[in-house]
Amino acid sequence: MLAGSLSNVGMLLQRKDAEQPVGEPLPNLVSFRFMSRGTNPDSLRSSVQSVHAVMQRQPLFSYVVEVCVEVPQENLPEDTLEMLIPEGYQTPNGTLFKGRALQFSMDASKIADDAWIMHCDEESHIHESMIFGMYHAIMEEERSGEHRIGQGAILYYNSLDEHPFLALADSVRTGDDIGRFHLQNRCWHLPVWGFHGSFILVRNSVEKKVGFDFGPNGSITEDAFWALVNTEHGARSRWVDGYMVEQGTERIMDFIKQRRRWYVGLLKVVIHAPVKLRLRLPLAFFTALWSVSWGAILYTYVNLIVGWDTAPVVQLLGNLALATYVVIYVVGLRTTLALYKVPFARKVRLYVAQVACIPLFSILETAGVLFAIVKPEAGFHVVQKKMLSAEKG
Amino acid sequence: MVDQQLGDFLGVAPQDIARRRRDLLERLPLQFSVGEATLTLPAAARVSPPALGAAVVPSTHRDPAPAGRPQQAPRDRALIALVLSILALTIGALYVVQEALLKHAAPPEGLAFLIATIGGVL
Repeated sequence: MLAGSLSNVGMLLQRKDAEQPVGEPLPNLVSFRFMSRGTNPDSLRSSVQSVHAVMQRQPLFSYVVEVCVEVPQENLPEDTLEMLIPEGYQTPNGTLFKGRALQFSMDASKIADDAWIMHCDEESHIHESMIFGMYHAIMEEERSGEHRIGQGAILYYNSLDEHPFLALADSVRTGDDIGRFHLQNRCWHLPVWGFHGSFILVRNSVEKKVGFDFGPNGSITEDAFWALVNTEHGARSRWVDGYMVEQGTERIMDFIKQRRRWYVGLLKVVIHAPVKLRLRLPLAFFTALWSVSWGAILYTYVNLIVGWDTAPVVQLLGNLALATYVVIYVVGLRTTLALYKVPFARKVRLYVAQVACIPLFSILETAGVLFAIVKPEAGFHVVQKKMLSAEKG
Repeated sequence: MVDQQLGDFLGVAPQDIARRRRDLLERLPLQFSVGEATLTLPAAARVSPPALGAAVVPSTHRDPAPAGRPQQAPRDRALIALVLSILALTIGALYVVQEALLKHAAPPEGLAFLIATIGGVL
């Protein structure tokens, strides 16, 4: 209930999105840096094209597109800076997976220290609102000299037509961005719940101070690990207005394995991140709550079936907890539909389905945690995604 | 550096020089025949990645008005109303359903204690 309530508080503190800025273009260069294995070239190309398309409409700053891949790409738009990771490349601390690629790209990039980097995943599509948010954020951080690390909200509507059930299940992620992540980044300026790996806006000088070479223990959820280590080194976070659009999972097993990776990765962050205990404690606390959340869900369903009486206080707390999660899912869908226009009748159907399916979504979320406890993540499960639509909304 | 100098000399942007150079490379022969064998070069072998300077897409935004957001954006009142409404509606609906429809039976004593404890913690 605590996590859900705090998420709702984060929503209550939301402000309207940044408007189209007026003024001079930013003096700083911005790099849109994509991380990809390179095995899904169509998706990657589509994402890079989305940057050019939006930046052509809103040329608010000079930019480059950097793409870090393990397989050479033949069809990327011209002027794309391709950074090919050598097959035998290893970081000094043996960092794996995406962290390894991030470290390589940081070392290989030629951009200046005062450039800003927008970290993107293979399927990250840029939305115009994000360009406005980036402009304001960079302008403010350069003026103040604080150079905080920015994070914003991600939408998952690209798979809403083809995989509506799982797209609706991912509304919780958008809702949590609008709520919990907004609260930690706008009000506390600390990564209490970690960071997600895309829609990270960071100054190159800040990124280079810490790097990504945290070894195998920092390789499962390298984003949260990196955020905490940065905080230890004095960096603070901030909220960035605007939206990035990504692809949700397309298979139930992928959904469950993705949650398992987050859970195991966050546990490793709590245990192994070389930061002060007080910085790890909040994440430890909420991860512990996540560990036993399956008990509450199991109890709810058992109670529903056998009709046991429940103490009024427990009942009230349970109802409040459920209500906070209904809010998160609905606000997630509302944010999605603000950008992804659908006919009114379909909108109604989506809202009804969103609320009606929450019990099923809770089972999926629970399965992820139980799966992690029974069979912990051994590697980095890469979710299979094909780019279903390049430009929607 | 060469692109910059050539661009200055010709009066065009260095990115255009880089683009024209790559276009020219694109048009070079792709296939080489040795006897009966034909070697085809993949596109990646022909086009080298651009240098940083050539890859920069410059901003064309020009607006003399003061930069930046003058003040903090207002609170999202529609979102606040939505959050509070859903909270109230859901809790109300759950209460009505639980009171009106669900049976009430006491769970086994040990289990009741366990449930109360877990419920309290959660």
